[in-house]
Amino acid sequence: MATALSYSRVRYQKLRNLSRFTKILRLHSSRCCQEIDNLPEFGSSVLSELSMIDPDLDVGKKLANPIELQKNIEARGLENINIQKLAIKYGRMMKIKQEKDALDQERKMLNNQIQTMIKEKIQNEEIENVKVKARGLREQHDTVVKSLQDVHHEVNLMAFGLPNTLSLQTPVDNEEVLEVFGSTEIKQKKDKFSHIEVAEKTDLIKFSSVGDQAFYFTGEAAELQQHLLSYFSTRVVDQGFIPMKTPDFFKDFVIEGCGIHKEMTYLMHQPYVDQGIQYCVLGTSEASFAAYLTKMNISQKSLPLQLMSVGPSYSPVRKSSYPGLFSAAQTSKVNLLGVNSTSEESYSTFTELQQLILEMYKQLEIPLRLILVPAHKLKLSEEICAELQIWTPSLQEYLPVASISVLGDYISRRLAVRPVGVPEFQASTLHMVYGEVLDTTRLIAVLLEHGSLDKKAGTYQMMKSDIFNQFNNDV
Amino acid sequence: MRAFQIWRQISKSDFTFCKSKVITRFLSSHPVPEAWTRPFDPPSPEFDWLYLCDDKNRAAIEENIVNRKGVGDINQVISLWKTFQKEKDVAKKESLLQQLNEAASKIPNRTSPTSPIGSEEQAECKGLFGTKREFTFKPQSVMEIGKRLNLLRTSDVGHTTGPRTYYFLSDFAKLEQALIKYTLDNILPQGFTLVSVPDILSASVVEACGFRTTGDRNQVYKLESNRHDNPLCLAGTAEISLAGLFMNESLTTLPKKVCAVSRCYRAEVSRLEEEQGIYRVHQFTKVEMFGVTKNQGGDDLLLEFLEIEKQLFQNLGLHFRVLEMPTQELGAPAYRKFDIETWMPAKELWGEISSASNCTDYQIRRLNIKYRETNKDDGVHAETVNGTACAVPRLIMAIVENNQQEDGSVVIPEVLRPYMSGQTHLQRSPLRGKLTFSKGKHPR
Repeated sequence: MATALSYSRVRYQKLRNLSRFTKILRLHSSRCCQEIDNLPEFGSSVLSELSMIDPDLDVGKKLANPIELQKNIEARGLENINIQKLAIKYGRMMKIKQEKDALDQERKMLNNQIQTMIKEKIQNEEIENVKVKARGLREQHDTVVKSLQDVHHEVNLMAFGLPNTLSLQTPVDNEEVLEVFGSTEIKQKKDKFSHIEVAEKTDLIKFSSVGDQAFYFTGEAAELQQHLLSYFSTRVVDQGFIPMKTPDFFKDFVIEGCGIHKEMTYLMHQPYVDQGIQYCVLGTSEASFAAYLTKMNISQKSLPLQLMSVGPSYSPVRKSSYPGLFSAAQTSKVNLLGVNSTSEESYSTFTELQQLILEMYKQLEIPLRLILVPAHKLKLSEEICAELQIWTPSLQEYLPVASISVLGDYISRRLAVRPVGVPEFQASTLHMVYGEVLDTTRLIAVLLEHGSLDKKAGTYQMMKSDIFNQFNNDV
Repeated sequence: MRAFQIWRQISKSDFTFCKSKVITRFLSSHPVPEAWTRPFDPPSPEFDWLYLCDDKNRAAIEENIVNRKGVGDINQVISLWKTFQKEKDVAKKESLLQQLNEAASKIPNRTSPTSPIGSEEQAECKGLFGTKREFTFKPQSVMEIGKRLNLLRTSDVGHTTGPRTYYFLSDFAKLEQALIKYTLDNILPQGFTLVSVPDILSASVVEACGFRTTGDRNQVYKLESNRHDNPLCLAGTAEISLAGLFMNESLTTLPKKVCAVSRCYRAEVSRLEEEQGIYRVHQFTKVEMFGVTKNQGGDDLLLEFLEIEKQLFQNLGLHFRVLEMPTQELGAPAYRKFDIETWMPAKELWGEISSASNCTDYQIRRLNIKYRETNKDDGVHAETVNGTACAVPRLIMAIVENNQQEDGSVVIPEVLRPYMSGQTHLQRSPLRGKLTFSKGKHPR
């Protein structure tokens, strides 16, 4: 009876979490370019006056190939994006722009005419007639400019939720396995246990109700966290990435500029400063770099720009249904960003970084694989994403622990990260590659499951590997 | 046959036959952490009613309140207590108990007889350590040095991350990691257990540690709570999270000494010119020491923490002083407190880099942390002590300003060099070319 009740309670919790997860998914997809007369909210913070940014969403180019755009949207499983409505609105905007240009031309001609008439000392009455016409044109012009601004804003709002272009290499239906490493015998291990059971039998992890899905790593597990942060960050720095320590909360337009909905972050209770701007607590993420680079002009000499950030990362909305620490609200991360002048350079960096993280994780000597993420699992900002996944005994599947993505010029267009220099360079856009190299909470949970747990004796032994010996020697 | 195989798998809770991983995960009996399935239930505080409500102690408590900036009303507590004792109606008694607890929670901790009475100026210097460097040139500030070497960015950052934010780059970021590792390598061998802590906590836990989360002058960041069952806050110090670790625990061996590296979030502001830059910021990394010890053992543990701090800063070559803090600087929870201030040559001021407090049973009584000796049934209240082992931005400020040379270079303290690949001097950031901020709305 007790077992049945416990089972029911666990099922109820899972159903509740799943319904929250589904609600967030629906929220996430429904906010992009809704098929409604109401304009979507996503992107409104970037497009507001407070951001002081005029994003370049390249709508014309996207709409120039509507079939490709539609395929992209369908492959990503995005709902409620009406390209037709956007195209109509965009067409209207272009028409108003043409009208404005024509008015500009006419006003210029009239001004020149007035200047000529004054020089030729023509009668005032005639000049006055022309001036009246010019004033009428000016009023017309002001009205058209206002209309253009309004419709331009609407177009931008509708287009803001469009995804990045989809790389041809991105698989559409299922993940594509690139490399597999490690012994499959481990998968057949009979005494499977989860890190939650390790927490029950040892004091390495303590789950707590003091905060939002709060937990503590203690002793060996906490020391392992510090060692992992040091190991991964040192190796990234050795590859030429410049370490940074960045702030953990960001204004809302930075978050949206990265293609992230504000609701996916912890929102700061207002007000502290800056009325009208929401502060979002996200921690180490793509926003860390985006905030640093927003509205920065970057010279060609600075490229490729390679940055690394280490710090806590917070996520109130669990994007997956993984149990326990696999979907924790807080972790510590090592992330990196590469900024390049061309897309080709970004893809080259993308390939190099895949090998880098693969070599780093191979040192752990546990089964892992490198895959390309299918389109329907990509973020809005990603063109392509490679994930490193580790075999997880309790789940009996591979769990993502690291990733490298090509973001192209998605963020740089939205947050005015601009090239400056010779005209050709200045007319181009900057391309980014983003990597989440380490997620300590998730990785430690997996590593604990690769140890040995004697449930009867209540004893636990961490897994043995050369890298752990190296950590111990470093102490 | 296939159906029989599937039935056998289900009976063993093996759902791997499902093609959908999501459904497999859903059906598999992965336990959910029990602590995450129940809402946060703050423990009922156990105030020392015998002490608080004894008329003989009223004058001393009143004097203590006055000495500590006057927060708390002991007369109200005693009055409510008397009414509570006489009340027979259960519902009214319950309501009175709530009022009583609220009034009692505002009464500050007792004060050590060694604590000076009065304001910050009354702090007593208990020792001067290291040597004050005499400069033959005008020392630059950490802001100037950081900007010159492209290791620190504080300008044009408020636009994206708000006021008092900053970026450490290259060697400053490495210096932060070096300080953390150096600190841990020195304190872990002294019996501390490293703990990684949550930074997002329930407001009740924060309040139980003596930090106000409401009112105009509180320093706590709160998060929008309409999605969460309990109001949530960002931790201003790992002291709160570490105290929460022991909440509702009944400990059998003491002392417990733990430490944590955490990100601290404080909404405090300052208009003082000397506190601009990275001296007073909203977000910073800190290594915190926390201890739980037996009743009456708090002062001994506090002095132990103080010795550790002194050693850490002496090894860094800093010139600093230890101050026993006066009553108005104790805050509500501290019984006794020592601050360490180091000399900041650019601004020519003493800047606080560490603080250690004995909170006796203030937090213990609010978080229900008990100590149970063997063979005894009832637990007794323990005592808590906390101390800052390393507050990164101010330490960087002190190290950089004190170790700058006339030629503009900055020497890295010897004890930190092993953590910076043997580097002896800070190097300019390898960031090439120019990154310039575009003011105004960026034209396309």
